[in-house]
Amino acid sequence: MFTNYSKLKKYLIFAILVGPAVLLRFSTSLYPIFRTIYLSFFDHNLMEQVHRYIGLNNYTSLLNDQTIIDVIGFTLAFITISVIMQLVLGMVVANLLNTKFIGRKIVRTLNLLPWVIPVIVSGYVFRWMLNADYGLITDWVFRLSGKEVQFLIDSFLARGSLILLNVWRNTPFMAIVLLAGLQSIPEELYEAAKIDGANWFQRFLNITLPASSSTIVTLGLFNIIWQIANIDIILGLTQGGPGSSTTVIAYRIYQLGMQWFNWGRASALSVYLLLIVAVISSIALYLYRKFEFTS
Amino acid sequence: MKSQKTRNKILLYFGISVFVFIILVPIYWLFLTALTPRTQLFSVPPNYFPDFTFDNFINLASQVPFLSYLTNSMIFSVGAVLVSVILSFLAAYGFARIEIPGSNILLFALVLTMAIPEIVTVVPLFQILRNFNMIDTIRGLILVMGSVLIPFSVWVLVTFVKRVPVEIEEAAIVDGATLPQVLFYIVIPAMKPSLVTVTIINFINAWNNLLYPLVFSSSIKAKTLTVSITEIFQARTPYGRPWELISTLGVTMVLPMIILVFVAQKGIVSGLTSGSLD
Repeated sequence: MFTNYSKLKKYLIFAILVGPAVLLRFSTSLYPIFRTIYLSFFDHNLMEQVHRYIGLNNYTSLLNDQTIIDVIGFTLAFITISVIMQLVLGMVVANLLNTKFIGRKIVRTLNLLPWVIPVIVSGYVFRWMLNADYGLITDWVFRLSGKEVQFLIDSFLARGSLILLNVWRNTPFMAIVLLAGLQSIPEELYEAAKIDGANWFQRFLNITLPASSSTIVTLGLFNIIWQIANIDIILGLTQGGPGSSTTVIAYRIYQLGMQWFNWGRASALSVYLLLIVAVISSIALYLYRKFEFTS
Repeated sequence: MKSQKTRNKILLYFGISVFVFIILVPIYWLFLTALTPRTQLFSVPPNYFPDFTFDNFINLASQVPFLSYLTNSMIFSVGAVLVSVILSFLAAYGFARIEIPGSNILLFALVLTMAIPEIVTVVPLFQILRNFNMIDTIRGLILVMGSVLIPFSVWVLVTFVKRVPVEIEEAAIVDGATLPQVLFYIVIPAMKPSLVTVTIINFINAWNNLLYPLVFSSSIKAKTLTVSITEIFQARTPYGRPWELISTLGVTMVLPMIILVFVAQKGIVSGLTSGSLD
């Protein structure tokens, strides 16, 4: 297309078509990142009306803060456990939805629901269901075990609850993409394996898993990037508490910047988060391209 | 052999039941709470069969400017969808059809901005919007949200433009058609399903967005439903948090999404899977 156009005209058309999207996106994402890096070298506090160059002070003081170390630690644990659970359960659900059964179409539709509900709403619903006095799940646990469990007051259980909500919300998405991968595996492979006497588990291990591995790896890594940045789930379920036990990096940036107006420190922590995301993205891209070319 | 088959069938339906149960319980509890009278809400054990009432909806409307927030959410979501889909479609067409040195790298960089956490850009965006007098305006929100949706939209749409056979467009150009005519009469009709898909997914994302209106809106002028529910959550009442009002507002936010999913299930799935498997 446009091969017989003059070079200048071709560039002009390209600029008109691509320009607006690129300009809008870069000016509201790349420029802010540079601005964030710049601010991270300043003591910039909106409440105290200061703007003073302090070099790497924000970075070092963050790392000397035990709370921040704990927050980074919990972020990594939260993401790792969530994504592994989502991949395993997503694979189970995808296999379930790939089997023929009555009502499959409606179940596949229901599967999308957790993913399209506003995160802040599902956060509040889970908070209500886990309410120490009147919660639905609290009641079920009491009936089954005889124990009155205070899910969101105990820090260990609060962390577990946050992971469960995250898994509830994101597993369907994993399942959809994994299901599409399963559907691209030729049926004959399974038939042949069946004739050779392979059982369900062997077929899964030798056909399904190898065929889905590229999807699993890339999907897992992209999901880490999306989930690491989400603060709605924490605003909804725990607001970072009890104490700061369920605070992740992104939520602490929100607190530093938007509640305590310490924009310098918020920016420095943002840069740390960006570094983590950059590392994960690089791995994701490397694996994505590798699988793209080999498959 | 036959008994094993029956056993597998039972296991399958058991698994599906458990799965559907886990998905539906929170949604069911949200709707039930919204329909429960306040006086029956705080009981131990929970009231599994309350008297149904629509009073909570009336109370909600009398306590928050619900219609204004609903309108804001609508304008915000539709605006962000229009900005992102129109700009992304044009860009995707340019990337797919025009060979220019470096255009692949530009596309790659554009898609890569998808990985930038929104929270990282919020402070500078606040300053930008303030400089342009767009704090607490819906048009400011539309601009930043439209921008967030661009990388995903371009990513999906580029693959779909490439699936449209280029020969028809070339023939039309030879016959003297202008580029806008080609886009309107050939490309857009051919890409209708994928444009609808991207529109729906972007609408869901914008409708559910909390961070931007939470940070950039301060009055009824630009607050959305997602902000409103956080404010109701903060409200202190003598009997604790107003869970019946939180749930009622939650229902009004969730219901349009549920309807969308049932209407457009196929489109959503094709959009979500096209990028990752193509």
